Amino acid sequence: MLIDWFLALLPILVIILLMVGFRWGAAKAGPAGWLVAVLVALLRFGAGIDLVALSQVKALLLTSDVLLITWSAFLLYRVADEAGAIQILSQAIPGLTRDRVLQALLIGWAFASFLQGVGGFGVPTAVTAPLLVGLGFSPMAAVLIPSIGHSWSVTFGSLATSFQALIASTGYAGEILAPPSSAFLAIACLVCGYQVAHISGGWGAVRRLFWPVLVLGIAMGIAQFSLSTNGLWNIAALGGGSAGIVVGFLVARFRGRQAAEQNTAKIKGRMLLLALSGYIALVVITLAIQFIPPLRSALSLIVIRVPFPEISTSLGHLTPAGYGREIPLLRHAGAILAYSSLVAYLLYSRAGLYTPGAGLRVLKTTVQRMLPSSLGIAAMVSMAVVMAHAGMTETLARGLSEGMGSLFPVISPWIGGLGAFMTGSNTNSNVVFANLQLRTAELLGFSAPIILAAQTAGGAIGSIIAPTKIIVGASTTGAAGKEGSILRSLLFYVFPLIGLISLLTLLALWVTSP
Amino acid sequence: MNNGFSFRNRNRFSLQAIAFAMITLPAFGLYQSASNGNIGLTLVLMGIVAVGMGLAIWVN
Repeated sequence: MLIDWFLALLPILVIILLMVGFRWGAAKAGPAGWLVAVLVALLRFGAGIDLVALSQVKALLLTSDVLLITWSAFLLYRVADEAGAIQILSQAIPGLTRDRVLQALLIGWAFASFLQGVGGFGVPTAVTAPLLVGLGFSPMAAVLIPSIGHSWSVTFGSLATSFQALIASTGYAGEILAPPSSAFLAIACLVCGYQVAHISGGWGAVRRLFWPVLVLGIAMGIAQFSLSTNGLWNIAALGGGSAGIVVGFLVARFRGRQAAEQNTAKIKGRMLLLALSGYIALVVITLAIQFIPPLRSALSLIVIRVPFPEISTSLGHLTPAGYGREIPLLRHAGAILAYSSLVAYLLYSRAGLYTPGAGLRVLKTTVQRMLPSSLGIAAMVSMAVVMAHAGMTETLARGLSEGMGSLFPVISPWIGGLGAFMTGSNTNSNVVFANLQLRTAELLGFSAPIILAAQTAGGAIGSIIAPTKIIVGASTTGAAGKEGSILRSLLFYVFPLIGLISLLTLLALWVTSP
Repeated sequence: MNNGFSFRNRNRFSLQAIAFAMITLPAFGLYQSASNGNIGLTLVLMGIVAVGMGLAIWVN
């Protein structure tokens, strides 16, 4: 029914209206959205108080999962910043190239994609946005650049967590899903590069750096495509980001040889290495945990696992019994960031880069900066979980799919994007919507792998406008409270990207139709 | 009214911490109460979460 569909949409409309229309911050709009979602769930969707309560507990697990990363990512940044490392990096990267747009491409596109490959939720933006601010970009641009820059690598990022969720939700083999998914995302990668250039320097920059962006984009897109279609999807984004860094370095050296020579003398190699030590530690520890099985097993001993009973609404929407979000405490992305922070702190201390009381200052500013953001994240995640358990999310998706009929392939990536916007992640979007997309595709006679590729590609791009991710970026650049403005600016770039996925979906269906 | 705003500005960080605690900490009790069908305790704890959300709106 239309009224149910509208009421299911109401919490999202409230969030969008408050953040975009009234420019409320996420910490204020999130609780308002939660209150509306709970009221609609209780009064219209047949949710009982026990369902809302258990949703709240599940939401706390998800919130902890997210906050572990955001707090630790900011801690790592503060450890480096307090030692002056960010300032050193800020001087060094212009040494590689003085071209500000190329700097943005190297940090916000290639490096952010690499971090998405090794890290996870919010890490690329949380780590690179402060670097961009240090290079003189505005806090707004510093959030937009890495957000757009890493969006194409989300599905195969975090060691392909979202892609694994797609496989698990649909039962389709990865070998079947990987080609269309990585093909869509490879083309999106190229567009992301031009969008980063546009944010950094307008249309002039897009024209001026047309060829470098093309070379970088092709290198990253092909690397991810090749790895994922050869069964190595867990390191596909990591490979794509690495290719971007190597090719980007070569492009920057080729274009800015003179600038590099002039600046090499200013910063000694040892200082640069020391400044980067926290981030090098992050990469080394992540790779060690992923690819050294005994270490991974040892760090997997402590896992927070909470079993939940089957719960249903009085209207019959059922959530089966199972575990909530499992948190492997010692090998969690947040724990890895915390280890990296500790390693960096010890190295900086040993090098005498801290003044007395630095440790306390680092901790104090981390708490002060992250607390308001944590409020917004907790509220948004709670809202999304209540909506999913009350059947509001499914009502939304069904309405969108059934209403569109033969135009379903056009709307398919938008459903993925909507799911990621609401739940804050591509993985959750795939878990919630992939099966629905699969069933609808089968009913309407469309190729399921292509529709599922549209789902995950839309989810990857839509995940960057999830309020929780925007809060992460805003909080690490001092733009807290301006999340509404950031969302509005991001939409300008995200809508064309998801629209592109729609066109690619239609094209792929047309090409593969008998 | 001005006193209220002044109080809020002076104690913003503490109020945010209280709101965060009210939103997250009841989850521990909610798991037990909802699993055991203790509706009264569930309602009280959900009330605390709702007040925490309201406090978050006011303080931010």
